[in-house]
Amino acid sequence: MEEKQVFLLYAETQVHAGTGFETGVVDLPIQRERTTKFPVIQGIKGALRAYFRVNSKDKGKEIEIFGSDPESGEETKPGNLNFSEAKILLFPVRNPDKLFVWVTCPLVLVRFAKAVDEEEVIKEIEERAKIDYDKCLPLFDARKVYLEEIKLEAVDIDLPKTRRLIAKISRCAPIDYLKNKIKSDVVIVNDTLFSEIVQSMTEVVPRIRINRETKTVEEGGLWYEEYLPQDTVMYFVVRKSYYNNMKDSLMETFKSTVHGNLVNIGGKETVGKGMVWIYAWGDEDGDSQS
Amino acid sequence: MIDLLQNLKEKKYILDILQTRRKLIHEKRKPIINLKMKVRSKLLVGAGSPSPVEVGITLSRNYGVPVIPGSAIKGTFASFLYENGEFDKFSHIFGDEEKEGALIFLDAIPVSDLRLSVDIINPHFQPYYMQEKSPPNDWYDPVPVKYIVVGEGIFQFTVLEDLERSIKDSEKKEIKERFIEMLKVYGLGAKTNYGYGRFNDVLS
Repeated sequence: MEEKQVFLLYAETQVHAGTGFETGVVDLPIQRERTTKFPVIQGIKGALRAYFRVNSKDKGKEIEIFGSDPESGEETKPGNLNFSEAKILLFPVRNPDKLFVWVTCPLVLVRFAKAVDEEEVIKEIEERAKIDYDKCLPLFDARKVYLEEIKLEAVDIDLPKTRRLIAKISRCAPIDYLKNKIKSDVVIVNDTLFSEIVQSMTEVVPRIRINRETKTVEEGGLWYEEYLPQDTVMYFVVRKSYYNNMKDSLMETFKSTVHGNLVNIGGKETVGKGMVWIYAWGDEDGDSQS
Repeated sequence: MIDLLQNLKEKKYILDILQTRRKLIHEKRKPIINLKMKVRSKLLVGAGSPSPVEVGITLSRNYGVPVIPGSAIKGTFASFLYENGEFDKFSHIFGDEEKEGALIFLDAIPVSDLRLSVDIINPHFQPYYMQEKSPPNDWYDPVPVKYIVVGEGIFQFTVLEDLERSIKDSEKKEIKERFIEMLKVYGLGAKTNYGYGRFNDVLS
C-alpha cells in the first residue's frame, strides 16, 4: 500500500471556490496561491467528506478517514488521511484553431511530476523546457499559437517524457473526445505568462437580482463572480496520517468511493456549479496507445 | 455576421460533446427534470453581457454555443411561482440565507437543430430618446441595432436533487408540471414581452 495517492479533478461545470466578498473589480473572486496567483481549492476535504457521507453511509469509516464530528460532543479524534489543497494542472483557454487548448507551465508540471514521483520528467523539464515570455511550446504542430488575443511563437523542443505524462493525465477526462484532445491540445508557456493567464482568463460572470415588484435590477443587485472554467484540470494528494495505525484499507475505501465519480466542490451548487469528476492516479491498462 | 453564424452548422460535434457529457451526469445523479424543449420563436439570454455588438448573448466559454445559465433558469422559475402565488409552497427548493436550496439547476444546453439569427431593433427617434430637448419627429434617420439571438434550437433542461435532501415523489411531479408551464407560457431570458423565450414540446 502506497503512503500517498494522487487524485485528478476534471471540471464538468465551472468551479467557484471563493474567498468571500472583496473590494476589487470582481466581488466574489476565487482562491489563489499568494505568491504565484495560481488558482487553488482549499476546502476540498469538506467537500469530499460530504460526498463520502452521502454515498457510503458507513459512519464509522467516515470518522476514521476524516476525523470525528466536532459537534458530536465526544472526545475528538483526527482523521487518518491527510488532504492537500487542489492545485492547478491544465487551464483551458480559447483558441481559434482548436476551439480551446489547455495551458500549463514548467513550474506546474514540475510540481505535479514531484507529486506523482516522475523524477525523469522533472529532469527533462528542468533541462530542456526553457520558454521565453513571448514563446510557447505546443504539443501539436503549429508555428504560432493564439491564446485568446495573445499571439505566441511556437518553439520546437521535444519533451517525450512530459508528453507521456500528459497522455496519462488525459485519462481523467469524462469522455473519449476530451481524452484524445488533452493528448495533443496542450500548450506549455512561461511561468510568468501562465500566472497572468490564470488571472485574466478565468470566467467572470455578472449576476443580477431582480426586484419582483418593479421587474428591474435591485439597488446593489449586480455583482461579479469569478469561476474556474469548465474543463479545468486540477490535482490533490491524499496521504496516510502519521498516526495511522496501519489501517491500509482506509485509502482503498476512500479511493473506490470517489474514483470515477462526480463530486460537488465549492459554492453556487444549486445553480449547477462545482461539479468535478475525480480520477485516482495509478497504473492502468490501456496506456499503450500513447 | 450571417456567414459567421452559418459556420455553426459544421460544428455539430460540439453539440455531441455537450450531450454526451450531460448523459454521464444523468447516469450519476438521477435528474428530477430531464426535458428537451424546442425554442418556439426566438431566445435571447444574457442581453446585458459584454459583447462586440450592443446586445450580448450568453455563450459557453469553451464551446462557443449559446447556453442558458442555471442561475437564469432558477431565478425565472422562482419568479414564475411567485407571480402565481405558489412561491411559499415551494420555497424550500430555492433555499434562503439560512438553508441551501434542495434543487440543482444545471445550465440548459443546445442539443440539436441549433441556428443563430440576427435580430434588429430600429429606433426612429434616437435623439429624442437620448435627450429630452429633441422632439420626436420624422426627420431623424433610423439607427438599426443588430444583435444575435437563438433562432431555432432544442435545449436540454436538467434539474437535479440535492443528495442530502429528498423531495417527495408527488411534489417532484408537481414541480415538473410547473417547470414545463414556465417554459411554455412564462418564458425565459430577455424580451419575453415580445414573445421571446417560449418553448414547445419536442414532437418525436
